[in-house]
Amino acid sequence: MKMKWFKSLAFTTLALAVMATAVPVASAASKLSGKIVINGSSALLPLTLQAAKEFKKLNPKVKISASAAGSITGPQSVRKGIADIGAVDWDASTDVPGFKKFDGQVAHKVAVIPFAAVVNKGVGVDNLTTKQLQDIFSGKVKNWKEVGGNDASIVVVNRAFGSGTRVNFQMKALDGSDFMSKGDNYKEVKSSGDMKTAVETTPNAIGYMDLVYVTSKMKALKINDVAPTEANVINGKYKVWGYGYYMTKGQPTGATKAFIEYIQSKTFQNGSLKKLKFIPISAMK
Amino acid sequence: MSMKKTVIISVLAAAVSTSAVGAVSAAPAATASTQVTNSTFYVNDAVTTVRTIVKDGVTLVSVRDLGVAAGATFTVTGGKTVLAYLNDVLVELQDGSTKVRIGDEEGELGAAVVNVNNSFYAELEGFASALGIEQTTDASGKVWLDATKRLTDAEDPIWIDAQTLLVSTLAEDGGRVDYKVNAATGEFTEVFRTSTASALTVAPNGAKAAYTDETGAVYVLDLATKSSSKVSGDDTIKPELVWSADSSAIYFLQGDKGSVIAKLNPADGAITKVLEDKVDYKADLAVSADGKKFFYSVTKPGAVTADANKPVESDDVAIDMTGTEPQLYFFDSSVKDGKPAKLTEKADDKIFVGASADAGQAYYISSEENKVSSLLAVGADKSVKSLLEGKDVIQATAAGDKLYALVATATGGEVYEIQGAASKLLYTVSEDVSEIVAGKGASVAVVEGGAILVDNGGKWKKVTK
Repeated sequence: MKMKWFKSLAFTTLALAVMATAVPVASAASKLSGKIVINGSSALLPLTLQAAKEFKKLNPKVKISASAAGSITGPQSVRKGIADIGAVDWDASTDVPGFKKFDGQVAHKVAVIPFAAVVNKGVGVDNLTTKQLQDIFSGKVKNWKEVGGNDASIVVVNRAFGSGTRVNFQMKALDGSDFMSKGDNYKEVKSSGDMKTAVETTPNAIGYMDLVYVTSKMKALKINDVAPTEANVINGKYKVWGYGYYMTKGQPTGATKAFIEYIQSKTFQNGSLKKLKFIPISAMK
Repeated sequence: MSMKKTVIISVLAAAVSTSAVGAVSAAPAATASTQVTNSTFYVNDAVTTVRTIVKDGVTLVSVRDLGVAAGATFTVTGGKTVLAYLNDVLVELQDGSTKVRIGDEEGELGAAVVNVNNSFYAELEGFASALGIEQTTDASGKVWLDATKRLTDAEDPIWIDAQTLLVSTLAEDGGRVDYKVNAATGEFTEVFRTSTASALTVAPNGAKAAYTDETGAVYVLDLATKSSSKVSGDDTIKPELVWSADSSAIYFLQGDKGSVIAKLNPADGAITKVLEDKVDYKADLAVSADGKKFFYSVTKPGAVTADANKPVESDDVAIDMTGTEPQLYFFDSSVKDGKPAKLTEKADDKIFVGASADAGQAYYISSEENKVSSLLAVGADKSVKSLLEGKDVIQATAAGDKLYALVATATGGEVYEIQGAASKLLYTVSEDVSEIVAGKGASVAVVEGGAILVDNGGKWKKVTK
């Protein structure tokens, strides 16, 4: 390999006058070509688009299109054959509360996603136990004063069925207990963006979201006296987190395989993935 | 520090002066009358004498002479074993053997080691390779040996001035180490070591670089003193940082979806919003020298229709990816109540988006399935023109008022320089060249098989491997 280089490149005369005649089609840099369609988790979409942008610079002949409408649509799209990759916030090759496993699909970890219980900034509570969270999200506890806050009715904001954030929050923050599903002080939203808006603008609201999307206009709660921080996720103290997955129909090949390898690479995991406030999969022991 | 360990060997050149020395070898492997020749070598561009012999048609060099010239140290044990140490590599040779041990690995020399008058001779190419010495043969037949210690697996090279590249390497702990690399010698010095910081965005003056940490806070690193200072604690996600032309301000895209264009004054940490139009997934931000004009791309996610009320097993989901290709936009912040203008409409992929130094136009590579990829420019008036007609462009980068393009050909690649309407071929390169690196006033560098090479006065100088 080295000798090949020496012979072919080392002493190429600079400013060589080479006649450009025919129009050659690409054979240099990357020979990879193809089209990748990705659908699923809205939480993972910024990560997917960032990785796609970088991957296309290394593989300019690969086209990547991405969309999001909730985690469950990821493996559904793969099963239906309209997407190559289903982005989902749980391992959809296994059963989880509310969803059966997707047979024949392979799960590829791409990121660690911490989730946080969040409240409107006016709520005077900073910490809730698992039991208190279960009671609030099931509708059993209806007033903030019952958990140490002000005398004000709690407004529960929930993600719609099919949300990966909802699946993770139910499994890990509520220990699998059920959500309430109706009532005057109950709202259901369809995306992380809608959740953010609802919690920021609704007095006495409580909801949950990916930690990375928590803003200064809301408050992320401690759970069982542990703050939702990257450090506490990595050191094992904070339990409300999950992996983000790319699902494929069987083992991936070609451009799809290369793209998954790129998003799992040290370069991306320790670079852009961190910049977008996700945690590298290698950080979890 | 002596960094010029380049060994120029002209064994094959007839013009070098040599003096034959008759020698009688006591070693069994050597013939009774092995002729030792004092050959003239060039070490660090200075004439040096290295003893050579010819055995069975193969030129063998004095292990000690070549090793010392390259900066190696030696130990000989039992009169049969030579240990040579250079640049953290330990090489073990055995008299009469073709086996060579390099650290924990074993290799093979092209000829057995020979002992002549208690001096060991080894096949040149194999011995040099074992020591990690780069060998090249130039057009006149001269063999160059370069023993400079080099970085390995360096990534993301950028010029920080006309003589220096900034590169990154992955650390074993999962972090990153950034180095300055002397483009003439390959000498390198550590600048920054981190496990939490984003990639460095170097200021146009080459004196400092900006980065964000995992909280979104912004820091400025002084590349000379290697000290960092926090210039903003703002915890929003910042997917892209861009320095102003005068290196005094940092523009950035803000939010996980890069929806806002904002400006940070590092002097006081003040952040001002330049554009907040609720359009998500902006990228490729470029800012004019006066800080008033902005080019950027926008990627629109596909539209999904799914009925959550239907059973999951029904897979009632449809995806429409129409119009999801990135489009370029222009925004002039000096225009009162001005709106961003969409410059492109075509459904091609647009990669390597950038802008000319005067912000008169943006450039990008247009990629479509089963077509050659074109290097195009689009002006604020939406006029699109080809910058390199009929070439399959796979990478483009700007430096000053020039563009550089890497083109794929049937046999390898070509590098073009484009200035205004004129373009010229600079180099033909191997198919393993994957990237070109240009900097204002600097030579062109290329990345080939993971190594970085710099055009050094007409020859490619490998500065990392």
